[in-house]
Amino acid sequence: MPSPSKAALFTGLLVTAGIFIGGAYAASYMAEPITDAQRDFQYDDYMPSLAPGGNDVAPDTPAVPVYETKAQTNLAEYPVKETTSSQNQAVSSSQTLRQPVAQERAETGLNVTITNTRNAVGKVYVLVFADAAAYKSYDYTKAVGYAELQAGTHNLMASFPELNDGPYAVMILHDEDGNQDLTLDSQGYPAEGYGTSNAKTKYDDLSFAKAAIKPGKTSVKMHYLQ
Amino acid sequence: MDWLWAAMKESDVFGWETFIDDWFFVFSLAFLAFELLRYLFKKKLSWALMGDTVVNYLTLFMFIFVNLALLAVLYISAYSWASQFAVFDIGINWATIAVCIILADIAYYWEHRFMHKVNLGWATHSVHHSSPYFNISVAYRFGPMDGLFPIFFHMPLILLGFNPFVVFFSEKFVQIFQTALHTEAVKKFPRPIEAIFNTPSHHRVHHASNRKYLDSNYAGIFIIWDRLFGTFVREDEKVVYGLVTPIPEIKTFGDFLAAPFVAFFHGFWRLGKNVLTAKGFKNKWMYMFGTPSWKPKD
Ligand SMILES: [Zn+2]
Repeated sequence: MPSPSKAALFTGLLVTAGIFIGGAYAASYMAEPITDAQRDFQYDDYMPSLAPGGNDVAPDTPAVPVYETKAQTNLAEYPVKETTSSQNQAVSSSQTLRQPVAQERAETGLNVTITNTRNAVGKVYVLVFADAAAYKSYDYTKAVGYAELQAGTHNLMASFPELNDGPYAVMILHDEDGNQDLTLDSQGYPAEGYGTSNAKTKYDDLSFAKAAIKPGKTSVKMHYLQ
Repeated sequence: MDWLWAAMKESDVFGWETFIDDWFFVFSLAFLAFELLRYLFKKKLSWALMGDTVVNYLTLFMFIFVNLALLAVLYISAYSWASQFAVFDIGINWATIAVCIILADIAYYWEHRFMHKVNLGWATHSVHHSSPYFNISVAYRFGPMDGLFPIFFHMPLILLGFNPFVVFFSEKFVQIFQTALHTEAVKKFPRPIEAIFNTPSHHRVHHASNRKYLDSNYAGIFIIWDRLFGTFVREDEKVVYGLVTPIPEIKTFGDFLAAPFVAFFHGFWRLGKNVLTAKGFKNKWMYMFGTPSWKPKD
């Protein structure tokens, strides 16, 4: 074979790029965007070292659907103003980056804003419960929603587009030492941040009925005893 | 045709990949037995051929080890990281998988052409071409970094919005299709098939060291890319397999023991030697990223 000219190679690559973009554009009309239910592989489960800050979630990860994708976790780090501007909705879910089907979806479901996290150490866990017994016994295997966010001092966001029924009670936990549990001090008081939907003060210990909220936007404050 | 449009899960795609990959491997072993019997009847079966066949599977084991130890982490992290920047959101069904296979086939064409025309790629891919034989076991003969370059060439598919599992499936599908072409038992298919698809005949030409056959037929599934981009050559004279500068033949039992390592590392050995002994930055650069036929002027 004579070696091809630079022009031929360039034209070839250009044609390839055209076929790629045209093909992907066509394919984007051939199927609905992927829903969270279709994403049943969590890369972190299979590649522990890939999880941000290492993965210590392996053995007793709650057996509940994980609604947060990687992209959402990253987007959640954007500072979020306490307004209902359209920009606010745009960052509430990575799905909205991919117009337009997903945009409708972001308006539904449960969207939780977490305020008052004191530092960026460790993770913030968000658990959503739909029944009083599971909530009371803190049985995360019966949670209907679960999200794991990188901690940060700005407002964090977790979206659960599937949660449209309710009532729900939201529990949050700032796991600074990475043990996936609320660490207690020697007296048995929380040494890490915690919070519940509808709680006004750090001493509020609400029943499911008191903590219950409807789907939509809700804000949960992180409290620290020490 | 509802099945074509029915939404699929990532685990479905992964399940199909494993199913096809595993059962094709079983089929290939049965087919290898058939090929060896065929050589026996043609009185072409030799200890050298048997030894080479074993070497092919030994390089496969070394390749799998390198992939599991190094490249799998890179592959998964690169794809899952890149997928957040995707332009389109392309759902999973057989229709989108079919489109992805076609695009992955072009990506494979360029990747394969790159591996032949750039020394760094040729260092790993020349392992696959170093067998002086052509049977289905040669298809499983891999070089140490054969898993690295596909990541870069299939990355555009991730960035365009295909699901990483669909891209993975498509890559493997192209590869499995091409695996089936490594045989001398099939002469030529009817002309329409030879015109559109890559066939054993076309791929024998790709594995040839005959002068007129060099640098041709890079295709995976569709030979049309070679026709389109000017690298197609038809099989019309007897093929001599292997490298233009062959690696040592397997003659003694000692050769056989050394052969897997010689075959697996000879490309990087050559690359390292050339780069280290070359004088001046430009020569070193060309030995790394120039074409394999490049030689220093003095
Ligand atoms: Zn090749």
